[in-house]
Amino acid sequence: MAQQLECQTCGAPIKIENQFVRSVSCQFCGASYLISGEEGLKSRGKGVKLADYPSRLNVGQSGVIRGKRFTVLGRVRYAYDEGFWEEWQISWDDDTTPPAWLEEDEGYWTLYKRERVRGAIPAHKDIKVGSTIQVNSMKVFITEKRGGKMVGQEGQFSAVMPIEGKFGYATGTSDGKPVSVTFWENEIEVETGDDLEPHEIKLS
Amino acid sequence: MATETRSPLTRLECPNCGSPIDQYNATSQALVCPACGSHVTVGMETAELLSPGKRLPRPPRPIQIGDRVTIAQVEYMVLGRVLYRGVHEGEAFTWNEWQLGGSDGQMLWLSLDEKGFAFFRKIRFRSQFNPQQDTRLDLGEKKVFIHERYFAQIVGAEGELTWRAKPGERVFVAEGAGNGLKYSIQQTAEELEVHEGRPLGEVALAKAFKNEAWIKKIESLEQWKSTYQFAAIACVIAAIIGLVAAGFSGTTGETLDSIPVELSDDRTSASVNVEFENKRPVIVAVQMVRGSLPANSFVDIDVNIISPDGLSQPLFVQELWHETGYDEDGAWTETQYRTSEMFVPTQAGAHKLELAYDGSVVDDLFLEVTIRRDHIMPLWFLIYGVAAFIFAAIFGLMSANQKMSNV
Repeated sequence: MAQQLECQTCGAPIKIENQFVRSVSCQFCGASYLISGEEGLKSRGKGVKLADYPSRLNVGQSGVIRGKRFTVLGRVRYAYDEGFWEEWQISWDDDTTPPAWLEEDEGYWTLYKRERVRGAIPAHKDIKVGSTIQVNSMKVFITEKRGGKMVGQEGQFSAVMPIEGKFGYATGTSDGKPVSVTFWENEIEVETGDDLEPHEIKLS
Repeated sequence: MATETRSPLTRLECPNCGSPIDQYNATSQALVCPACGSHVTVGMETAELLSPGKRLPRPPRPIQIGDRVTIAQVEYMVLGRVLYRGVHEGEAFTWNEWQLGGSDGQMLWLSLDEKGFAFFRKIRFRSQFNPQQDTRLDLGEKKVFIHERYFAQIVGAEGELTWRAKPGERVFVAEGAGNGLKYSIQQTAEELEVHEGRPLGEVALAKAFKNEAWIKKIESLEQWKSTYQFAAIACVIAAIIGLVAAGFSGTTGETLDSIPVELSDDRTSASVNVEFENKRPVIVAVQMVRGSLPANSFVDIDVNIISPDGLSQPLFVQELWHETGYDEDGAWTETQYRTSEMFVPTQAGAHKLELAYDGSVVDDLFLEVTIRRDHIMPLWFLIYGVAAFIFAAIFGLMSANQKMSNV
C-alpha cells in the first residue's frame, strides 16, 4: 500500500510505492532518506542526481517481464574506468515478491535477485578473470572483474543504497547463469541472474 | 538504400574541435566526432574527451552509420563501426565491425574479415575456458574448436558505441568454430567475453540493407567470376584433350618392317628404298642391333633422303655413343644406341634413304632402320595443350581477383 511522505529539504511529496522500500531519493532535489518506521523519512544527506541521459526505462514506468507485471521503482548508475552501466530496481505488481534488479549493459539485459551469502568468498583482490571461485553452492567462472563507483541514483530501493562510494565487483557464470558479487567496504552482495532478451521486456 | 532521416536523442559539442556530435542510441557510452574523429564519453554530467582520434578510412563495403537493415524480421540501425588490426604469426590484417542496434533493443555486431560477413552476439560461458591454451570451448550442447589466437588492437571507430572503445586498446582474441557458427573470445585483464557469429552471404546482406547499387555490384562480380570460372574449366578440359591427343598421336602411323643395314670401314655407306604414299610426317629410327661401341667413344650416323626427283637433302647427323666414368656411387656406364628423327617429305613416291659412317671407331656397325610413315606430329597438340593450361591459369586468377571493392 502506498505511503505519502514529504521531502524534508524541498517539501516535495514522496510516495512510497512498495512495502519492501528501505531507501528513497527525492526526485526533485536528490535528498536521500531511509524509510524509518514511525519517523517516516530519516535523512542521509544529499545524494548525487543522475545526469540527464536518454534511457529505455524510466522511474515510474510499468511493463511486463515474462508475463509478470512490474513497475520501475528506482534507477542507479555505476561507473567503471571504461564506461558505466545502469540498474533499475523493479517491484512486482503482486506486492508480495521482493523487488528485483534489472541490469542493462551494452544492450544486454539481466534480471538479478539477491542471495544470502552462505559461505566464504575470496577477496576481490584475489579473484582473477578466467578463474573459477566458489560462491555459496555455485562454482562461478569469473568473466569480469573491476572496480566501480556509484555515480547517481533516483527513486526508491529495497536496500539501503549507498549514496556514494567505490566498490569492487566480479561477475561470471555458473551453469550458464549470470552471477555477480559486489564488494562494498562493509558488505558483500551476491546476486544471481537470468538473461533476458530485449523483447521479453514489454513496456506499457 | 535504407537510410532514413533520424532525430538525435541529444546533441553534444566535441570537446576537441567544437563540432556538433549527435547521439541516436540511448545506451551509447562513446560517440566519435564526425569532424575530427575524437572519441567522446557520454552518460556523465559532461561529455569528456576519451581520446583524440583520426577519421577512419572509408568502410570496405557501403555500410554507413544510420543505415537500416532487417535481420530475422527485426530492424537494426547501424550505430557505429570499429576498425581492428590483428597480428597472427607475424602477418598483420584488419577487419571491421559495425555495431547494430535493434528496434527491440538488441545489439548485434556485423563483422567483415577476409572470410566474409557474420553477425555476432554476446553469449555466456558455460564452463571454465582459458583462451590462451584451451583448444575446445564447451558451450553445453555446442562444442567449439579453437583454431586461431592472436593479439588485436583498435585502430579507430566512427559513429557511436555502447562501450568506450579507445584507439590503441589491445585485446587477445581466440577464434573458434562449431556447428556452422563462428566464435570469437576476447580477453583483457578485466574481462573475458564470448560472441557467437552466424555467417551471412554478401548478397543476402546487401538485400537486407536494401542497397540496390551494392546488390548490382555483387551480382555483376558474381557473373564475371562465373564466366571466368567457366572459361578456366573449359581451358583445362581443352588442355587435357590436347595432352591426350599428343600422347595418342605419338603412337600413330604405319610402321614398316625393319631394314638391316651393315656398315664397315670398307663399306661406309648404304641406301634403303622406301615408299611414301603421301606428304605426311615420317619418323626414321636407326638402332645399333649387334655388338657395342668401345668405352668412351661415339660414332656419327649421317642420314640423307633422296626424293623421287633425285634431290638429296640431309636428314640428320646423330651420335651413337658409349660413355663410362666414376662418381661417388662407383663406376657407371651409359650408352645411346638408338636415335630417330622426324621429317615431312616434300614429295610422294619412292625415296631412298642413305646412311653413312666414317668407319673410324668399329670395323662393323650393324644397324636396323625402322620407318614409321603417315605419322601425326604430337608437337602441335602439346603446344595447344600448354597454351590452354596457361589460359586456364589466367582465367582462374581473374576469377579469384573478382573481389568486392567499395560501391
